[in-house]
Amino acid sequence: MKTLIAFISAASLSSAASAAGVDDAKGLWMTAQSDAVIEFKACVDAPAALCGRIVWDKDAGTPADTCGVQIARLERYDNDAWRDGWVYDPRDRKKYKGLIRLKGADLYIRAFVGVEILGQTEQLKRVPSLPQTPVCKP
Amino acid sequence: MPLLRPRSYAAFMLLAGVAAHVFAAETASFAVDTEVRLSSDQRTRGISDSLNRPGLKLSVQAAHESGLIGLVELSSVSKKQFLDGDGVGVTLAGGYRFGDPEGWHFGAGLATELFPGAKYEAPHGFDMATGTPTDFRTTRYDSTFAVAEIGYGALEGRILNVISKTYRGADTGGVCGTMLALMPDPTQALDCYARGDHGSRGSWLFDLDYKHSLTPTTTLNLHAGYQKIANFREANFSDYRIGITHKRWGFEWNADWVTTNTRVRELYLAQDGDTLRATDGNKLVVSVSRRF
Repeated sequence: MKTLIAFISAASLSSAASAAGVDDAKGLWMTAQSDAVIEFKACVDAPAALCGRIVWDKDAGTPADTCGVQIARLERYDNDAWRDGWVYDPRDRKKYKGLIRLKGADLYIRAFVGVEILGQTEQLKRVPSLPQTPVCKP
Repeated sequence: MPLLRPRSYAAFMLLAGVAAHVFAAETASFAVDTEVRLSSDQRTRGISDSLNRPGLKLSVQAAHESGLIGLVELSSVSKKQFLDGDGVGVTLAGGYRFGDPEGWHFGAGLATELFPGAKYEAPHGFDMATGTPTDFRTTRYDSTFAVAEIGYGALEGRILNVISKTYRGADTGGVCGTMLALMPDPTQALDCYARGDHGSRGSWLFDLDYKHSLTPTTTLNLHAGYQKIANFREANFSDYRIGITHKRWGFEWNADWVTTNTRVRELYLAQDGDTLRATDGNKLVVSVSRRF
């Protein structure tokens, strides 16, 4: 009986840890060059998936404004990373395959073509709130 | 062959306004990445190709979702080192990469390095009886390599095997001839000639690189290389580099301390007017690059 309880407890802890991993990517993340904040949260049309959208842009209100642009969508969390999705490059209007992984306190977004090795990783820092200015218009 | 780098978020956001909310239906099946780099010195394996002067490099890399990759690179080189040439070095490479960037990953391919027009003439023999160099022939600096890569996470290893007749023109005329011309004591040069007429096909070039992210915009870069030149142990050398890369204003700013350990320094001297200049000196090299 003790063994069963121990097993159930371990399974519960494991499940909780896994759930925490899934949610850790959610929140506000500042780009490496501090020029935009991306908010990751559950996709509106698919709560099990993760979507990222630009919610602050240092160029908000200018012709280079990127506020509201969706830059990522990942369908599933597996093996410590969000997978099966895309990231978007508005400059060439191309989507690349994507992968998002939390390492330490930072978020790593990898954009690649075909196989994961052919890509680049962007490192983002978590921020507690959006900078006060400029403001993205809803 | 550096990794392909799809454009950074910081860069692609600049043009995002017009394209907002407009999405392509499919993920890209290929990517092309162009980089222009201006350096205070154009170094290859620690040795200056630009006679210690500033250099420019243009790189275009392409990758296909199958794992196939290609690279075309043009760089400025010194005509005083690559004699009779156009002052340009051209690298063409193609291959295949696979694996997990966080774990084990691998690559294989072919590469060639061309210096259009560049060639030199040197004696491939030495008549010990009369004490005169013989058999003057022309050698080009072009090389071709078979390349294998193996990496684990941020640690990257690369092995190149020279499959062309020479590695950057290293043959009996080039190596033994240079030693004969520049070394005060001819003994080593004569020993070199006594080994017969050879090229340097079969040379091995080894690279080990490690990148460590210090901040999201700053990276520490470490490099160690060893070059084992077939038939000419005098030309073997190692090189080391430690540097920092920092991304700002859409550019990558680099500062690298480069050092080499050459066996026979005379092989890395270049005639500049009346002066012989070493191309293997320890040096701080700074560069700035921009991706398009």
